[in-house]
Amino acid sequence: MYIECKGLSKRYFASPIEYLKLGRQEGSCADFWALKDISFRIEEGERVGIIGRNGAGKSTLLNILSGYSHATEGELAVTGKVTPVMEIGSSINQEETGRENIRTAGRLSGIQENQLAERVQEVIDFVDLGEYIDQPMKIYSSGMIAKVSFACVLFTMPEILVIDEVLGVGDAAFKAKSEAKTRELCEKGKILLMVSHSMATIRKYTDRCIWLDKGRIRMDGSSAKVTEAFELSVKKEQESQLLTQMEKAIENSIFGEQVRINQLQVLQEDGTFGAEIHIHQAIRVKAEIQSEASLGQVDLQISCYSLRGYLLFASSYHKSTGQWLVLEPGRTAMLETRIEDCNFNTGTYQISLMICQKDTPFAKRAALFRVVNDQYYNYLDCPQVYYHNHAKLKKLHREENV
Amino acid sequence: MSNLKGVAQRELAQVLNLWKLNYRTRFTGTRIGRTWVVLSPMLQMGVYIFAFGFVFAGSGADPLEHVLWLICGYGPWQAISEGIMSAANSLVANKAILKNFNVRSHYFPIAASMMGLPSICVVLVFSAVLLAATGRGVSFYILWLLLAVPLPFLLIMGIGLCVSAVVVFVRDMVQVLSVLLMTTMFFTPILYYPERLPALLQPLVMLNPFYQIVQIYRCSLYYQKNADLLGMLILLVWICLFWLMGLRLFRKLRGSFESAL
Repeated sequence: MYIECKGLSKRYFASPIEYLKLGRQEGSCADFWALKDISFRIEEGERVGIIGRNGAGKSTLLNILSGYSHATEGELAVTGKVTPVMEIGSSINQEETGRENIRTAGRLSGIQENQLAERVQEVIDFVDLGEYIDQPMKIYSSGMIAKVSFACVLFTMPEILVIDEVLGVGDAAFKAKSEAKTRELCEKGKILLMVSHSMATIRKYTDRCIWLDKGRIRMDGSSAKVTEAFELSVKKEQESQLLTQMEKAIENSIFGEQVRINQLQVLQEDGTFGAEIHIHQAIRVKAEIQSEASLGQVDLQISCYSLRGYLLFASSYHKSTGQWLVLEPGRTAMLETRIEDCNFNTGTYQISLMICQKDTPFAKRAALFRVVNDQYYNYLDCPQVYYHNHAKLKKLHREENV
Repeated sequence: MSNLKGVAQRELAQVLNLWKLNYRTRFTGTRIGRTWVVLSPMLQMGVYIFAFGFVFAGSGADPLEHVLWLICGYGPWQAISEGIMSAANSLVANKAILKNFNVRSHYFPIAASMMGLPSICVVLVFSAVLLAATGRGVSFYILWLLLAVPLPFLLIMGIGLCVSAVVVFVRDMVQVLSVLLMTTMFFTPILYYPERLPALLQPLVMLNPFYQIVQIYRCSLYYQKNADLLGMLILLVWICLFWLMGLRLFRKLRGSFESAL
């Protein structure tokens, strides 16, 4: 039993008329290739996950493998009976009882009449719905419907089980049962092919993973490696989007009339302006402040935010020194502050400087800086935190009554 | 060979399952359930026969004889129109099954094409009663029914393959089809004698496959004579044409059903 794809491609046509013009090689500009040149082979007993962003071609691939759709180009060889589970509960006749629906599903799955009664009973025992099984399914809860639908599939003894985002339905107990049943099927040498947006689900159920990106295979390998790479890529993309948003927000946030922060720089430990700051280095923040009027005593507040907008720390000149800052009108002041031992993870951060009097802000400016953590476990946005544990052994004396 | 037989049996069982499922889905939730399978065509046929057999009938003919003549015409037509309409809707109506079960897509229109089978059964039962009531009895020509029963279904299946595939992409086709079927019924000598057609159209009626089907029924049950061989040949040509066209169209379009369903 195996599945083999060679150069599989799928084109969706722009209009119904285009469907009828088959055999033509050229396509219109509006035609869309959902899959392009997909090649892989899945052997007996393999549990394969398909991942990718929305529109990557995951469901299209499953539809082709399950025979629901056909490839425009390429070769597909499937040896074994494919059982697709694409939409849980959609094929249920709500007017009929759970038992009748199970029987119908059995018949449609090709179970022979002489085995049907036995199989139906197996499913009924498995879903364990008690007397509800002989009630019309229109009174079932969505969880009960999902249970019946999923159990029907498992008990048709599929050779190649194709699942689209529907594994692990029902309550915790049923999830465990269905998971055990799925594993049992795979251990019997059946092929499991599943699409999911949950990387945890993919890692749990599959041992191989194919990452689709814009209709092409981007990576094919162990589920752990592929899902990690995918997550990293998603995070990078999100980071890039957030960065753009933050840059715009910084531009819009600059203000100050009576007093202005002309320049705000984040420098490396040695005072040089570098692209990246390494973890555990000190950061020097340099600002040029120009005052046009006499404001009296002001405070200088510095705060640091992650790319997602979480406040990582905040400090104030007054709180740390107990003094106020006095800016002379018409003069430019250079200020420098130092953050010791930057313990941030790899990522881009925002440092914000604000001059205020009590709670009234007069001027604000922000700047971005990038930190690289090449030493420890790295997780986006989370600062490295160290706990210094000291354990002392103390001898306990028990007073004994004599 | 036995393997091939097993596969054929399984595939046939699949078509029969879909056929039964069509009825179950259609009448599920009704008070009298599957009784409607027979009652529905009986009532429809009853209304048409009453209207065209008694209300609009001429005064000359024996009413029972005329009713037999009408049943032999309207019964098969009812099976044809019901089969074509069911086949046209079959893929859209069963998209959930198509998606979630490994059932070959062309089985849906084929199974739906047989939705008119109860109408044929009603024709046969009514005709048997009327043959006895009119004293005509059963002749050797009744053997033509061996062809008259399966031929309309072969024709409907061919048409069904064509229209079901098109309806997936152009849903308006269902509305157009119902108007087309009604028009065809009134332009086909089903409820009236061919002589009443305009002279210009009379030669063309021979090319009408639905008329040929009706004629086989009438020859075997009413006229009690051999069916017209040329008419049979014309019908067979139509069946072959629709099957060829249906299979070709269906094969071309089925790969993209999923995008439109």
